[in-house]
Amino acid sequence: MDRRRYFARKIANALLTVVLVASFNFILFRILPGDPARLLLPKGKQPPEAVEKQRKAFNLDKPLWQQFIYYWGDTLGGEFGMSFSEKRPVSEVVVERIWPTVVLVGVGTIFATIIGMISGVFAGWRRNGTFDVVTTNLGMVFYSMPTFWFGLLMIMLFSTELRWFPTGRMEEPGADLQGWAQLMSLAKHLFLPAFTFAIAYVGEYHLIMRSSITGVMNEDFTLTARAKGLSDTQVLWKHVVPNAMLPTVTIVMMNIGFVMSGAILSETVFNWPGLGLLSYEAMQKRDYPVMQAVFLLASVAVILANLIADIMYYYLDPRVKS
Amino acid sequence: MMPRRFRNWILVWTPVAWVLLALCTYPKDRPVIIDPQIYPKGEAPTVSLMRSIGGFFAPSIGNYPAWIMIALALCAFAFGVTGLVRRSKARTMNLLLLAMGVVFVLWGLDAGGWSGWQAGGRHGERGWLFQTLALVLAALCIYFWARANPERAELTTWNTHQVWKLYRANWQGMVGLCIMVFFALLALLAPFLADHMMLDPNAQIGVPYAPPDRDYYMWLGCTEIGQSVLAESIWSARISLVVGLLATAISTVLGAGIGIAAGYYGGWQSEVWMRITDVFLVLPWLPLAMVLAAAWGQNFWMIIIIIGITSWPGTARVVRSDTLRVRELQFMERARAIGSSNVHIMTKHVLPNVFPLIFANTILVVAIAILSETTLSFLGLGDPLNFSWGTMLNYAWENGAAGLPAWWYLLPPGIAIVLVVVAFTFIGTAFDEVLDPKLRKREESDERAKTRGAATGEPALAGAGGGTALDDKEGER
Amino acid sequence: MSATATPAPAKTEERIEHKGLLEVRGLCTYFKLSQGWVHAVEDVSFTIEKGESLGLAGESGCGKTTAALSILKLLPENGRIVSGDILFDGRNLTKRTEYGMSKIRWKEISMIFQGAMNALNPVQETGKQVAEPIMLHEGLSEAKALDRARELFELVGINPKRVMDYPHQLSGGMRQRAMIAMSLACNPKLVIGDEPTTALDVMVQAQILDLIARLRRELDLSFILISHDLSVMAETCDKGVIMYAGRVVESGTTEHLFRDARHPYTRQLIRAFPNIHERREMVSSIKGDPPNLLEPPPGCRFAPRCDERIAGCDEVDPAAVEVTPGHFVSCHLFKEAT
Repeated sequence: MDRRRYFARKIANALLTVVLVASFNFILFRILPGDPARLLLPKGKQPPEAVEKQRKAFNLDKPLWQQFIYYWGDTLGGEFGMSFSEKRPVSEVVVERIWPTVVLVGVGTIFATIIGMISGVFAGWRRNGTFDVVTTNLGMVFYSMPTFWFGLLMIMLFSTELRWFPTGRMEEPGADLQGWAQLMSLAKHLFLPAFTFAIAYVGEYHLIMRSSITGVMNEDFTLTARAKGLSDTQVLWKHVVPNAMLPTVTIVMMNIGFVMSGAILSETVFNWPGLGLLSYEAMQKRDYPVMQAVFLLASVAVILANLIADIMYYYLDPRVKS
Repeated sequence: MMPRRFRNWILVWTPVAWVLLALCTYPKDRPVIIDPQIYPKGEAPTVSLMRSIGGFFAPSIGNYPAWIMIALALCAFAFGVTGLVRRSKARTMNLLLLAMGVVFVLWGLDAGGWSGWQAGGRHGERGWLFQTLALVLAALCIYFWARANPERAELTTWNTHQVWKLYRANWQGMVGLCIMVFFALLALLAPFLADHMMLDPNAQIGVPYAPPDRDYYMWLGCTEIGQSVLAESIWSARISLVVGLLATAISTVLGAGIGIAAGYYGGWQSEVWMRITDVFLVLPWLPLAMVLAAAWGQNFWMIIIIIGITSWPGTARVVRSDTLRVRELQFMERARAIGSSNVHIMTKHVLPNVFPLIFANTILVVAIAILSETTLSFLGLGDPLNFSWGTMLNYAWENGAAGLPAWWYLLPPGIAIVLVVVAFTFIGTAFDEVLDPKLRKREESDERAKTRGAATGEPALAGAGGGTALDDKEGER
Repeated sequence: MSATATPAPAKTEERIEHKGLLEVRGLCTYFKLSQGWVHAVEDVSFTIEKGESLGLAGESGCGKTTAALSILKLLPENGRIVSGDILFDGRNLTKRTEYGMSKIRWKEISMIFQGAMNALNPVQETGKQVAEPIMLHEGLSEAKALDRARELFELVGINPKRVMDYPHQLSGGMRQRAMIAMSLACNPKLVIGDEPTTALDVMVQAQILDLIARLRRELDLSFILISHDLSVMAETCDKGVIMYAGRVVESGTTEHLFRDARHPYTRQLIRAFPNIHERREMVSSIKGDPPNLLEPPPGCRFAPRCDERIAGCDEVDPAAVEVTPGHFVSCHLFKEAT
């Protein structure tokens, strides 16, 4: 299959999924108990006029199919209504929360991917060796650990006891730092949340890479490579790792899409002002318009990450091309 | 006659099911074993040991929602009647099913009838009797079913003895099993280990955040309102385990059903099922669960349903790919050729073949479900009436335990979660290894050896493939 | 077992005198399982002269592949060569280090593996895989090695333009040809073919066998063919070794084995094989299963399935007996020809 057709098919697939997810979003917020117009208003006193106005504003007085069309218009236009906890348009609130999450998730993912995959390669290569037994069981524990609990332990150890890192937030309140000092302060604030975020994924990537390596090492071509007289290291890096990378890349990319769950927990514990904290706050205040927007954004991120994984796979695995 | 391994299977699983049911239904509202020295107000009714043991084994209907009892009764009647009408081979089983329906109805009536159900039921003194009766009937049903369909029973079960032999050699699996037994005992024996009264907000045994002390209830110190961390940790085991298991049940039924359907049907039907799976696979589960929990309210059953319906797509994927493998096997052709219906083929031929995979996967899902429950509870979406490890961590976090640092409050629930999740992961992986490659490979090579002996295609080494150890070795390499 | 850490062996390696190009003497290879040691290959001996071809036959699991892998010391981690000597071209391979072996592998002894689909790396171009040992052992640049790969492709009858194709783009027969090209990459003295035609359909099988026969003639190769297919062995080999449950039961020239088979197992094996040249008759199969190699029975390993069992078969392991010159049988029914 040539490249254009492959990409076109994958993109079409992704678009279809986006459409389905957005429709699910529409349905979800309409099958929730209660009047959607009321849900979209702050709790407490809801005067009938305000409800009526809200109904009009969101076209909730129209039949369902018309609502659906209007919903699409709004969504495509980035119109998600007003956040009633912040009294501002949802899109505005969401946009300013994106980059802290991107920083946190980016740093955490890079860290997790590099450490996890390298340790996974060595563990799988010498399966049941000392390194493997230690790292794999540790990886299992990391993978099984609730992110937020690990975050709390980090705060307890590094902030309360040792006082090395601040307990939360992105910068010192009130401090007005510039240039280098600002960057250092950011790094200091970023360390614990990013580390906490990364640690669960380190375990996961380690386990995946390890099992992938083990699988490839049982393949016949590894024996061929050894029979050719290549040394163990050459066999590992020339033949085993390129093959073992394939499934791992897919899973790493999929996970990048799923960062929302990790981000919510890490950001909530460390008070990091990103999308995760935003959705937690929105949930506590029952701020449905914001929740809806974040939910949609997170779903689209997953689909996008899947698409990137498919594209990368095309270049990594020659078998896809035919 | 029924195969022996099938009998073993029943012998193992009946008590497990019974214990699980007891776990779910233990009356939480009743105080047991009161220590007046510790209970500050001294006004709690004294309860004898015998009564507390009786209470422990006497689940009350009050803890089942009414619809579960109605559904169980209806299912029993429906299966029994259709079986009798269609004159299926297992006549005794159908009669027993009808009897089971009657037991469910009587159980409900005993607990207060329709109004009892509606009001959430009151405690039935004879609950334990009905529960035991229902389970004995269920076991007998399986027994008579297996007697009526011996070949199928053979297919549905695997060789318990052999699986256990392989499983025992897997040290991780054994470690996992030990941890799980420990926590299961903790959950089951909670009433004997810690007075439920200690969870009452009024039951303060010390100053807020009192550090650990020699006194039994003070072993793990105090919470932010001076309650016993030990007692809370012990009782939390129940909710965490039960929610994890029940959510997994929902997830597995959904995932296995949709996976088999997607794999079995080709063409557009498969496309539709996979599309649905894909959509659920890309939905970020935590934001979705947060939305659902915020909107539907936070109670025990809702949390279970939410976790169940957000965790099935992974199972569906795995089951689908295995179904695709099974579909290509020869006997499928035969089943289709003699005109069996699709539903018949799926339940009678495909399901038994993908069952080992579903089983191993289920255990792994339990780990995820427990972790999910903890996460939701930590975010304040748990059932406020019950303690779970997540809820404890939520209270600890919101009240600044990490800033003190009150390690005695943060560590026990967290360590418990890690241990339980690791245990289930170990067990699941162990079963995966035991059930998946080796057994299946051996079965297949046996199969091949048999067919080879009959055909003339390659008869030279007809005796081969007898499953010597070397054969496996060469296959593995 | 890091290969690079070991120092290079002394240049003046002492030449050991032995028969033929390769002599395997009393080879025992065991596998360690959790239940104990599997005696996969026990007391196996054979010799191969330069330019000769030897067939190694037996049912699957009889240890023939293990014997072949022992020669290159490519056993899985739980496998050990417990005793015996493998003497190749004046050197004792059993005594060699991993580093010493890596100099022999492919340069002097190469292998054709069973399923070329799995034996070729799916994410590397086929030509590069053929060129890899050339670069490694002869120190050629990649471009020159690829030129050699093209020549080799031509030699085995693949269009040289396809060197940059991935394995999945080649057909099953072509992959097997590429595998053969790869085995010839460093002009080895000995090629071991482990069931080289089993995974192919009959037409392609014949082509590949012809190719191997032609290359053997042209390049004067020594060749060990491992097969469960006696007809393939009869066609291709000068000599044959029949193995059963890890032991050699009979060995000799192909003529000896097919015209004058003595061991009951060999005879049953030949009888079980359909002969297209003769009258069709019911093909018989051998009753029973091979013994469990974890605890091999004390006597002859074939005794439990043997029709011609006599007293002593169950207790004493028969020694190899030379019934006619060059024709050895391990069976109590035969006495040394005097």
